[in-house]
Amino acid sequence: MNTFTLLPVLSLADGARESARPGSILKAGGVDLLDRMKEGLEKPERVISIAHVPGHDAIEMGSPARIGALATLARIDGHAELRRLFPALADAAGGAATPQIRNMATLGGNLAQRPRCWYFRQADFDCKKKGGSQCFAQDGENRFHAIFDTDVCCCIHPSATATALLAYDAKLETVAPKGPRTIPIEEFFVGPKEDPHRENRLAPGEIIATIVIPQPAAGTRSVYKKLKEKESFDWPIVEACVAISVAGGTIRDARVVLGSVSPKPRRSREAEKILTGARPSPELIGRAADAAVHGATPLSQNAHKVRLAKVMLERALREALA
Amino acid sequence: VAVHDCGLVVNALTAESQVHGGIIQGISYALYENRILDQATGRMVNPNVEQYKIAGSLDVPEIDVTFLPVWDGVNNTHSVGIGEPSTVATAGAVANAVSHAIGARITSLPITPESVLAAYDGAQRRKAEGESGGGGVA
Repeated sequence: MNTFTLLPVLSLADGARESARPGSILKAGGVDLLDRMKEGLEKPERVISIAHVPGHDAIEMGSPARIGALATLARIDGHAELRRLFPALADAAGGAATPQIRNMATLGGNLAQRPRCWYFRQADFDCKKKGGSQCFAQDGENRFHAIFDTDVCCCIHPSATATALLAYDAKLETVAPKGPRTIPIEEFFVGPKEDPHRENRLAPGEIIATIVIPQPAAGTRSVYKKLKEKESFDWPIVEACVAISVAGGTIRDARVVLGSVSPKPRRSREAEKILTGARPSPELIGRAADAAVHGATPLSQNAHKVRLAKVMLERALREALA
Repeated sequence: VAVHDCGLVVNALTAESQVHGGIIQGISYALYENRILDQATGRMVNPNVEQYKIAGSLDVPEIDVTFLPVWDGVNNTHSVGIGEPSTVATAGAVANAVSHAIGARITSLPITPESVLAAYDGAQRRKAEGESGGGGVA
């Protein structure tokens, strides 16, 4: 790892101003950043730490709910009221990584972390995401890669909480040298077609301050499911998250999201259309799950992910509609 | 359940612990460990503990060890080593269990969700062909 200056700041405004300067990088929990620095992917001169900025780790369960971006995954997992209203977010946070990492990792950092593609993570592979001309995974070792939007860079988005927050229609409040703004989570992520060098719309110096989640409609049930190869410390092969409200035996509203299948967390409007206004049945669940994986373009080694995504979504829908 | 014969058990606690370790490593051997090489460059793409998978605490089952000291080691301690045998048997046992569950053999390690699906599909296809009279008995 390179040598650098660690600069702790005590306000997000200071963090925004300092991290906007050339050669500077922002650190909260530091989980993903330190991995990248150890691999030689980042060589910052200054690391601006917002880890101890007071007041931005609060979880306020009002309407809407407001979660400080510095809240750790462990606290989100362990917050009883949050789990009651947003169980999919609590499960996504609580199922990520390991207890040690969840004690350090922040919600903001989880959303802004960079992909885990093994070609991206090795400095020796000059891949498209690092400014090179080739995506090595497209014709290489791609069993864990994307099955949608694979034509430019076929990495998958690594954030489990993003999958859940997309189902809850969250908004991100940010601070930046230019001032604050609010970004709907659906517009937050950037796909490789638009720009392969980044995964989100944060400008230099811009910091996620708060994650705002609207109060779900009465009778909403939400479920997050994922499939991993092992139980401890593993990245998911596929994730499925649904938030569904049912009234009078009919589905009023449905949000369907697949994770670990594409460079951005993937909302399936096709599946939502099939579910909305329909009466729950096993046939309906099968049809919605089919629609969600329709049009997948799996790579040479990951066709099985299409089927697994469908199965995980069916399980999530069955549980939400049970 | 692991039943082993390592001759005379000199220290029951450490011998059992040795088998525990062997079984945990055997589970990794059966289900997780995979040195994945990039075909174009020959570089290993998973040279770290994040992507080179081994069993963690949540992947370890309850382990029940029994020693049946029948064989008298051909040396003056009447014991033989027990490190590796417990690892070797475990992968075979896991593969047998998978085979029993899905009705098809998997002949390469590690056994992953992908290889289980492929073996299961193959078995179903052969069964369908057999029933329709298209193919011979596999």
